[in-house]
Amino acid sequence: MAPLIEIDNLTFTYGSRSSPTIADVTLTVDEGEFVLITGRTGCGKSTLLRALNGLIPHESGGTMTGCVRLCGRDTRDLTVQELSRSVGLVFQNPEDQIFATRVYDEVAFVLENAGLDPGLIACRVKETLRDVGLAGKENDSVHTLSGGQKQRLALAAVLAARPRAIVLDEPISQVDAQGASELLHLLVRLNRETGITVVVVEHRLQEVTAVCRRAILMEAGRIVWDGATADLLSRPHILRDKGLRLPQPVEVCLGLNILPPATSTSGAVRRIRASLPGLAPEAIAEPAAAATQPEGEVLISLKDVYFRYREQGADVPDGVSLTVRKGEVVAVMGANGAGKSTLLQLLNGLLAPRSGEVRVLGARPVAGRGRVGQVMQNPDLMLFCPTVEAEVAFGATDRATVAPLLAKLGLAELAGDFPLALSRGQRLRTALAAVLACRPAVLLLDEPTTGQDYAHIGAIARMAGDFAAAGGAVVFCTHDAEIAAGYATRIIVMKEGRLLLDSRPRQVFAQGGLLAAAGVRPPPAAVIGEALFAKTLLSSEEVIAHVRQAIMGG
Amino acid sequence: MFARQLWEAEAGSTPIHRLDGRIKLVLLAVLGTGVILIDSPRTLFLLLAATLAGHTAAKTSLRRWVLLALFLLIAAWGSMVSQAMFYNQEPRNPIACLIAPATPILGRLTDGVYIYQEGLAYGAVQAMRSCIMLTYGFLLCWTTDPRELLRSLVFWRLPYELSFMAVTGLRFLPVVLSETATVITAQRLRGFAASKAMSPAGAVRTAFRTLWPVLARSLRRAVTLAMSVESRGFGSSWRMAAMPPLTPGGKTALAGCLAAALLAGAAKLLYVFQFNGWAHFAGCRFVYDFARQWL
Repeated sequence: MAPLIEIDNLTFTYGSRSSPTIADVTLTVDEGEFVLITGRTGCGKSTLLRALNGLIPHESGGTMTGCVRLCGRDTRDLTVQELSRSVGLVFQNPEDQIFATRVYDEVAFVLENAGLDPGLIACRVKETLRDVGLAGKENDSVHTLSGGQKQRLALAAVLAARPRAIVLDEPISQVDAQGASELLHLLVRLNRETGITVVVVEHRLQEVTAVCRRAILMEAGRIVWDGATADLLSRPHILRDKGLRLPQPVEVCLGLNILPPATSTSGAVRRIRASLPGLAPEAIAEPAAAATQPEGEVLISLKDVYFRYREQGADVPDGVSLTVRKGEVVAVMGANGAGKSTLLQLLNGLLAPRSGEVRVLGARPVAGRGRVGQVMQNPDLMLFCPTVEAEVAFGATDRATVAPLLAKLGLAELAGDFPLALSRGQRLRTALAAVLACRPAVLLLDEPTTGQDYAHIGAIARMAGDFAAAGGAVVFCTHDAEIAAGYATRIIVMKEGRLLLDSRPRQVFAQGGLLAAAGVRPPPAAVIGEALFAKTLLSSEEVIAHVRQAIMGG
Repeated sequence: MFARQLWEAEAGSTPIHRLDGRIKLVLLAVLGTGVILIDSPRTLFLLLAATLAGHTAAKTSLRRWVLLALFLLIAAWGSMVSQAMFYNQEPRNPIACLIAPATPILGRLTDGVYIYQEGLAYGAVQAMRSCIMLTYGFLLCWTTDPRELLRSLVFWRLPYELSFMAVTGLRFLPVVLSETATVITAQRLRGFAASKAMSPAGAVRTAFRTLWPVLARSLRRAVTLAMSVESRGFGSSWRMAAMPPLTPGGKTALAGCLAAALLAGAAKLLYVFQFNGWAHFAGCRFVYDFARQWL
């Protein structure tokens, strides 16, 4: 049987560029496969996806050589409309692609375009919504859906056409842990039950490697690895060289020479137990005690803070009291809508509490004044100067700090470039540099890791750590438990506006039940540590060290 | 003002929400033609009242009423003031003098600026024309799903590219407004105070500082949306088979609307012929009376 997708020596150069974004790509995808395409930001993954459904070359205005065949037919000979019946494309941000205002209308759109009978459309919409877990929401406004539901709606909007393949561009980068898990389980179920081919582009390997059987790794527009996911994960140096984060269960298995490594936490626990039967948990020493609570100056204090957007709405935050001291890096976690971003807006003075008291450096925060700096989730909206240098110099307390800051964040060579024309990672670092140049005492970061590859995440986290070490305080919202465990000195978990947990990472990630209630997943290392030793471990290194210690103890 | 939900179409079950998008577009075209051809203030007033009644029937929220009122006030004020001051037809009777001809420099330059009674009345008529279209425009956008609007425009044979551009513009206006608010917020957080940029050069600089990020983000969004819609089969080879036929009620409403428009148009035409002395039909006296009074 012919492969579903055949790509033969594909090279594509965008009209505005001199070098190709993808070069000499050759690959085949068989019907029913579940394929992961991964690689550093800007390596050509999304461009490759667009070639699969004909947007390239039909709608992209660049130069394409080689060919893409779908079910044996060259995509050049088919229109995008014809291809839409065979390949559905889901983009990264559901907000950017949802076109209708009602759930039913969004799903029906593709069917109407195919000229189906209205009766059939109604049936198909109902079935598709049931398949993606949105049954009964036909008449709901799309604005009432959560982030995860919107992503499932975006998926339903292409699935309704019953394509033979769906391709998804970073589908879980914008959703919380719960939403990501639901979407991936849905894709697995669809792939297994209907045989639909799934191609996913994603950075978050932790979540996706557990479900993808085949992985394709790209670098600088070329495929540098194409094979079984398990084989790729057995070669950690390849992933690390390409700036990708190895899933913690894999890291743990590899660190213990357990091959092939497990991709899931439960698999890692099973493999470790099977491979190392001499584990002796009782011989393990407690993890080294963390540093004592900083006794530095209080920079932020919240006392019984209540806020509501509408008079009739619920309070979010709902009676929150906390203090943040110099030197602390505080991660705020919780499901979408828990009140994380509202908390940041109260701290930067954009919102005022309905009751209670917010103090930053002892005074009521006023937006734009005082010493609170914030980097927003979407850095694009913060950049308004003609060059990177001007952007960083804008509001800088001391012009002499601009050049060193640019160098520190790897922006020195881009100083004369237009900020909005930079890559996403570069734009975020420019926004961060612009905020740091104002010498804030408190740095607020709203989901700083969204859409960033691991190399960029590391750079941002290190910068935040340095800032705190120099006498500042950092408060950041995140869904990424590994980042929170790795870089925060303290974690706050919010649920429906209330502080559910507020402690050091180890203590917070020991509260499995409360975390689950708040829609927060602990890092895999914590789950493995809990299963093997009834202890909360925060990193792969800690798990490996414990296992080794246990073996020696046994 | 900057809240996205304030501008976007809202799902609803009122008769206005349920009214077919194709009929709403026909009504838009009829109203658009009507407000140009109709000179009678009382008919224009009734049309404005009817469009406002449409909002009541659509259960427009209080926040939207406030927004609509703001737009209507700006349109009415702009139209009436400009016409009152710059009315150049005769006769014209000044009811107030803003700048006397004897005023140094300005008086000489302008020969005096007056408020004319006839200008005010003409401005009021013009204001009602603008307000009718504004009110109906808001009603259409707030009660019609963008997807239905797109299909309806294509159904009425508007070229696909134009339809898509028009609807995408509507779809994006709330997003752009909401992101403009975010940009202003970001500027505030970075210590940039727009109030400090009151000089002309400062105002231009501020405008660009706000415009760049909004434009860049809007372009990125627009590209994604266009690709998403294209890859869901919408294109120049679009087929209309899925557009359901109009319901009998819809057909009746459409026929009634078109018949009323045609009759009014014919009456106006007959009246214009009679008024200019080009043609007079004795049997049409009641038509002339009706047109003089209502059209």
